Amino acid sequence: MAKTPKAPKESKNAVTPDISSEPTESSESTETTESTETTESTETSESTETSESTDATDHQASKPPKAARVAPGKFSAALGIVGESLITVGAIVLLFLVWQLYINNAVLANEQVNITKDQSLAWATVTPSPSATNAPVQTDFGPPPVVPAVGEGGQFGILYIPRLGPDSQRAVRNGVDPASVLNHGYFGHYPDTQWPGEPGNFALAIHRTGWGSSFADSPKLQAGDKIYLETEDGYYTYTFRNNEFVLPTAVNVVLPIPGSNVPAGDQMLITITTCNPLLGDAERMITYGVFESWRPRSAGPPPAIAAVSAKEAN
Amino acid sequence: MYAALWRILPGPLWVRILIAVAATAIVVAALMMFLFPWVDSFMTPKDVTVRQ
Repeated sequence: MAKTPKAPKESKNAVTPDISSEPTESSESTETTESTETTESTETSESTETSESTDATDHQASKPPKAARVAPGKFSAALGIVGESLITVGAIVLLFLVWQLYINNAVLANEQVNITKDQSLAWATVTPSPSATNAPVQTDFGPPPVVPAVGEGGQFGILYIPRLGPDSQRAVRNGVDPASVLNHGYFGHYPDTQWPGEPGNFALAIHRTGWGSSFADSPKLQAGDKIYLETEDGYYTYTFRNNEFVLPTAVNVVLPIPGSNVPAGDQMLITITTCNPLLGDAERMITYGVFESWRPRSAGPPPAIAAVSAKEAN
Repeated sequence: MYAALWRILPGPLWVRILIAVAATAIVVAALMMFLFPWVDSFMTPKDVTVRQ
């Protein structure tokens, strides 16, 4: 057993000549020859010798690859951490997009449905009188009252566009500040434009996609589609007229008469600006509607949005 | 990195999978509830208004 430390050393020394010159190997030392012999024929040697020799051969065989494994091991481990970190960052960026386009959008859209429901309930102090609902369908309730101006950020209406699908109604606030109004899914009223019921242009802005917007399908609006604005006093009905695509600097679309400097006369319009193309903001898509009629709250909601209003009341 | 994390997870394979899935869910939820809204507040939103 005293040989054990010796044998590997000698065999190690003998390795180089072993390969180059096989005949000289036998004359050098009996131990090395034994060890090399055992590798050739294990049956002939003793058990202790074989263990030694296998140790030795293991040592010979495994040492160079072991060394080769350790050195790149550290490097590749570091590379691995860098690589995995990069993959993680990439995954987080993708996740952020998913959150922004879908999850945050769904959360805000759901919030908007609750906000419009609460707002509608808060205004429902005047219940439609039964006589009004049973009376023959009245369509003309005279000239509409002007919506009283509210401060920046104040909420004064709910806009329903049935063509854009169920739960597409969104609350309307005064102001077009992204952080406080638009990024929460609201329609924002351009503060310098007219109020509903006032001759001129009731101009709004809303996100096209994301931020709880329901306006992505606005190109599907067809001439004659109704746009309903619910306020504390009642319901303003507008008829969709057309969509227009303009540059972001086309501020004349929110003039009392869009695109011209002539006075409004008695014409009442609704104008909604949003971004175009769908996920970009290189252009603006402008949706125009013309005021059609007004009905007080006591007359009940217009039939087209009665179902939505009933759902809100429950 | 992830291999090392996987190695320090205790228990049999199914427990490890359970812990890994739960930890991932917690991290994703934390990102969506805290980090993403914070990051979003620094991003320039799409402009939808007309102005000079």
